[in-house]
Amino acid sequence: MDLAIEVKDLSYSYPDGFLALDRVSLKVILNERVAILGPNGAGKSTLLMLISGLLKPSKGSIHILGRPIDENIHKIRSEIGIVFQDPDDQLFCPTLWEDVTFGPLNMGLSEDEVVKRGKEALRMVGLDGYEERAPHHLSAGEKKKAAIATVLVMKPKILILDEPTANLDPKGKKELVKIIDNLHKNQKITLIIATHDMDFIPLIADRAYILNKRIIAEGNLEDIFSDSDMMMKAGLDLPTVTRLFEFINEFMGSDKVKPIPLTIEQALQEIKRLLKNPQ
Amino acid sequence: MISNFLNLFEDIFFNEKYSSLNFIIQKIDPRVKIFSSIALISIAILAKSILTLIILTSIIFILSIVSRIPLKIFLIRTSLIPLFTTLIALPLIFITPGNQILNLNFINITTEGVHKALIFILRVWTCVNSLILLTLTTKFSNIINAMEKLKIPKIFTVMISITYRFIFLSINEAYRMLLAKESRTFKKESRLKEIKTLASMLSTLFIRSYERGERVYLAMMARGYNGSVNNLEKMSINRRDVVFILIVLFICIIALSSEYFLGVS
Ligand SMILES: Nc1ncnc2c1ncn2[C@@H]1O[C@H](COP(=O)(O)OP(=O)(O)OP(=O)(O)O)[C@@H](O)[C@H]1O
Ligand SMILES: [Mg+2]
Repeated sequence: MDLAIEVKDLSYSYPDGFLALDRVSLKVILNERVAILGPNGAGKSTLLMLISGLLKPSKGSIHILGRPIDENIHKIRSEIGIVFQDPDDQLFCPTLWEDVTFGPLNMGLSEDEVVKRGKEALRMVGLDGYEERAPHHLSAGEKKKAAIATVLVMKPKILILDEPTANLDPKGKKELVKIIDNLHKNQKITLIIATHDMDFIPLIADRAYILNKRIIAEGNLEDIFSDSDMMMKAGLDLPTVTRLFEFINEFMGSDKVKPIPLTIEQALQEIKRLLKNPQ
Repeated sequence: MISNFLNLFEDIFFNEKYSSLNFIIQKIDPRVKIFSSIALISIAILAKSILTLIILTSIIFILSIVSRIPLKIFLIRTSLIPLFTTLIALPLIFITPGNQILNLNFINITTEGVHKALIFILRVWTCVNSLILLTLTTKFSNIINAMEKLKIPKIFTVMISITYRFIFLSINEAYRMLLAKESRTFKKESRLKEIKTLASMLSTLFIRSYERGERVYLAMMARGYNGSVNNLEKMSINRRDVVFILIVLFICIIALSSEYFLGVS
């Protein structure tokens, strides 16, 4: 099992002295999909910036694809794509097209390749035809899609998404799930996603870390979500269907439904099973 | 409202829409344009007669008109800086010794003074006109790109492009802050009050733009920024460019020789 990311005893204080992360350790295997969950101010964005090599750890170490992050930072940056939480931080060119081609041009790709990738990335997020628009004039959801496109276009080996569903409409969300699925299955990409969108997590992740300045828990989604007390204490919630089935379990006495479904699809199957065979 | 003003300001001074039109000057290679601007500016600095400066400025005006840049936009953009030079040049009218036109007890206006002030203002205006025509008809990234191709040191091109981005960031940041303020303002305020609020927001604005600039820089680094601005526009010098540069050089030579050899003044 090759490690995509290995973080050891990482602490980070902001320049004003605020300790945002305290001895965080985590491991992500190649082609894994990992969610980072935590309440507001937990340090998720900070952690992702550190993993992308944009902030320097105060203590501890980060290895990307087996190499320490401070060596060869430029090479590593071309392998990690990060979509920031605030798209206004990410988009800085006069036109969307310039923004989308910024990364690939810095990678020194041929012009044909840049154009091809640029068009493809815009089409993937559903923004074809927006090439000449000014990014700062787009709507909030369009900005988010644009920010995602500016990173997809570089075809990174590791994709880091900070609150990718914020401001997206239901169609946008579904499309994002499809994009992520496709990247994961066909391009063998490694994914790290920070989010509060509990219904979205089971669709795009297999494993999760619960973060609140420190790592509170870690495990497969089924395990994490079956410990609802821990989730509550961390200021988080369960996916809607999971919460529903907790009630059903309670109501029917003991663990009737196990494992508890996380997505609507799983829930449907469980309901069908229950209806067919009530005992 | 001030936020409307801010929008207007951005539209007038930073709108790039005229650079993507496809008329005469827009079609000229950016390198040729930069070179021509520098040539015109040098001549404007060397010129000693009002006539030469007026002719140079008229040529630039004609070029901007044939490039379909609205005269109003061009005039607003080009007159901001000369406004300040006028203030600076004003004392010249009074302190230059020479032929008196008007003589009150303590105020002396001389022909030489008026002449000097006029030349000074016109000279600055011509230079500004030439640069504004360049920036109005050329996409910003193309200007930077062309500067790099012309082997202008990287430190300048990086500084200019970062500054330019920073101006946008500040405008956007100010816009957001003003909207937030307006949404919580429930009665009509006097201009003075508005300006006062703005002033008190200024330090916050500075810090906010600074920090956003920092984050945007991180985003640029994350996408492999290494100081050079690349873009997809191809630059190639063709016959049109050669003709243009020959005309500019011709104008420069005529202007210089008429001043220095024929003694036009
Ligand atoms: N530039 C900064 N200077 C000082 N403190 C900061 C800075 N940025 C963030 N912090 C602090 O660090 C902590 C973690 O911030 P971070 O943005 O990583 O949280 P988060 O988990 O991403 O939260 P959210 O869910 O709201 O996005 C917060 O308490 C925040 O106040
Ligand atoms: Mg965050």
